[in-house]
This record gives sequence, C-alpha cells and structure tokens, in this order.
Amino acid sequence: MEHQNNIKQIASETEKLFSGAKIEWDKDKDSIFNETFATLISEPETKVVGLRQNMLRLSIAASFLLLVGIGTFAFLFSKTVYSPVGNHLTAELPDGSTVEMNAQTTLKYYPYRWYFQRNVEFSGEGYFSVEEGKKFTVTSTQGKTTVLGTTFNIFARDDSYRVFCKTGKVKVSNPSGEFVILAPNQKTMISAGVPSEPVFVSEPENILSWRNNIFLYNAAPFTEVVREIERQYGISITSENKLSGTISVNFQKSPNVEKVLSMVCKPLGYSYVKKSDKHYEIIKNN
Amino acid sequence: MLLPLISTTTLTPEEFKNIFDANFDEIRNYIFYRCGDKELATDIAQESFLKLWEKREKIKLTHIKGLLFKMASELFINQYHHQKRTRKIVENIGFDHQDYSPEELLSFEQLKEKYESLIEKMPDNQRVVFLMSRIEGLQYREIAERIGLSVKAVEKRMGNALNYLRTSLISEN
Repeated sequence: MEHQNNIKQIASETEKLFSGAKIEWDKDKDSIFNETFATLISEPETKVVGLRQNMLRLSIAASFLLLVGIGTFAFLFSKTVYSPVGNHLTAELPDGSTVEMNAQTTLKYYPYRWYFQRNVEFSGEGYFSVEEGKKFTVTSTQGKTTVLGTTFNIFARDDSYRVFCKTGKVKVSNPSGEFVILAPNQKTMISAGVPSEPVFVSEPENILSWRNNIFLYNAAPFTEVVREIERQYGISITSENKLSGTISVNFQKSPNVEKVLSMVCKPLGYSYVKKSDKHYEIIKNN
Repeated sequence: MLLPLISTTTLTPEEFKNIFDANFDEIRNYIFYRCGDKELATDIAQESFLKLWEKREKIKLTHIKGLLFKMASELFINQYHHQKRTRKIVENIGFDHQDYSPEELLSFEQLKEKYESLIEKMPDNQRVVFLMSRIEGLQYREIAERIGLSVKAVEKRMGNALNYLRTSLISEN
C-alpha cells in the first residue's frame, strides 16, 4: 500500500517537475533542413549515384594498381655499387655479407628479393665474405659462382674469369652449366669457356694482396698488368705496338705511377712517355 | 495464403521533406534521452536522415518511422561507445518557471535537485520511455510506436522507471 502511494507521489512530482520542460536546442529543425538537406535533395539524383559508384570502382582499381605497382617496384628495385678507377671500396649486403671491391668494379643486387634469393650481378674483382645462410650466387657474363657461406675472390674482367676459394666450398660454373667445386685455397679459371680443374695455391696471399694495395704477378701477360695499373691509378695507357710477353713483378701502389711503369716496362724492353696528366704511352724500344 | 505486398517506392524530395518534418524532432529527442548530449543528438539525427536519403530508392513508406529510429539507434551505439561522454540530461533541459512565485521556485529547485542525478543514472531503456512520457507528454501507444515495442512493454518500462526512482529515493534517505 505504501509502495503504491510512493509511486504515485513520484509520478506526480516528476510530472510537475517536467511540465512545460523543453530541450533547448541550438538549432531548430528548419534551419538544419535548410543547411544540410535543401541543396542535397534538389540535385539530380542519377548524377549523385553514378558518381558514387564510379568512385568506388575507381578506388578499387586504383588500389589494385597501387599494389601491383609496389610489388613490381619491390621486385625490380636494384642497388648498384660501383668502385671507380683508382679506388677501393667495401660494399655491405643486406644480410651482412661484404664485398671488398677493387678498382673499376660493379656490383648489383635486389634488396627486396634478398630474403628469397641471395643473388648479385658482378663484374670486376672482389673479395667476398658471405654470411652463412641460403645459397649465395654471384653472376657475371663469364661465369657463375655459388656458395653457402665462405670467403672467396672473384676476378671477372674482359675475357678472364678467375675464382679463388679462401674458406668453405665454392661452386664455379660457366653459363652453360659445366662446373667445378673449389676447396679452401684452390683456384680455377674459365678458359676457352670451360672451368679448369681446381689448382691448389701455395701462397694464397698473392691473390688477395690487392686488398692491401700490393700487386703480385707471376708470369702474367703484360697487357693484364698494364690494365691493372690503369685501374689503380685512374689513367689511360696506350700503345701503338702490340704489348706482348709475360712478366713476374710485384709492386705496391705508391703515389708515383711512373716508378711503377718503369718497373714493368724495362724488363720487357719497353719504355713510357708521358703524354698528359692522365695519359701515358708505351713504346717498344728498338 | 496471401502475404501482404508492401511495395517499395523512391522518395521524392517533397516526400523526404515531409518525412523530415514529421520525424526529425522525435529522433533527436530520442537520442538526447539516451545520452544527454545535445550536439551528439543533433549529429546523429542529421546523419540518420542523410542515410535515409541515400537509401531513398527502396523505401517502404509504412515502415519509415521504425527505420529511422533503428538507424539512429545504430549510429548512436556505434559512436557513443567510442566517446563515453558524461550525461547532462537535466542540465540541458529548459524548465518553464517564468511565472513561478519565490516559494514555488524554491520547491521546484528542490525537486530538480532531488531527481537530477537519479534520472541521469537511470537505465537507458527506462529513461527513454520516462522522458518521452514526461517531456513530450506522449501516450504509451505513441511511445511504443516510436521505439518499436509493444504497449505492454512500454508500460512495464515506465513502471520500472518509477520503481527505480522510489528505491533510489528510499536508499538515499
């Protein structure tokens, strides 16, 4: 009974409280209609709908293209490292592998494909320290070298392709797939298009000495030594004579190129003339 | 067996205007009762009618009020839960006390104070029914039609609201 009375009292109290109450809106219905809807509903309707659908289709197409674009970009994006003449530099690859690059050497790889495929395109001379991991492939026009994780030296210039394996195991193949496998301290070269049988190297420092700017040649063709001097000093060396003969010589890269030139020219009966600052000519002595 | 065939039509701008005039305030009040936020209530009412205009090509004229309340309710739930605002329902209501005598004004202020926080803490579904009845002076039948309930259910919610106020007042004393 008391409950009923309470309820009744509350009902009448609240009725009294709210009698004449109103929510005080900042804007009334009509001004909202005029601001928001009046122009909207007077627009020709097909245009609105068509535009919306077109926008949807366009944005789907655009995002698809964007995805394809990003994918293609990531797939094709490559990085090229070039060590110019007269220079040495060390390139670091995404997995921490490094390549010490001799003068006039080019290295190209695909950073976004690296996780799937450790593949570099290479020309010139370089000493590779490859981190353990998936197959690591160095491709040059003359041949291909495949490793898992080792250190090795590649010389890939003109018609020459020579690989020396310092540690681990290295597979060297020619473009048609014939290959040899090198054990530590073995070297091979691709001559006449075929990889030669591995040869043990008794003084491996001689092959890697370029890293310390020391150049050691044992019965090397004279032209090859001349090309190396051009690269190391960033000069051009010409000759009207055919440069022939082999030479055993070693030199350290010193500031004085003429000292080096006379060292290699004399024993074979050649001499040199300075033509300009960066140009020398070699002449056969009579 | 005959199913009632409810034909759909495309709203003309004139029809839309009529629907807007007939329903906008109701929708806006309804959301206000739920959150006590005038700005949010206005936004949501406006957005509901924008949605109605977007959907104007397949409209069942007989269901329009229910559709609007449903859309507003959904919009409200989606937005409100992201931005828990404080309710200031009673504070946002303008009371008509122009010609009150000083004594009447005093008792009015006491009444207001007594009910203010209770109404704000009242469960949502009870408060909606309670305020529709008290502020807009709607019949239970009209309330039922707006929020898509049976008259019985509205009666029950109103009873629950009064009961809630009673128990809260008792526990306060």
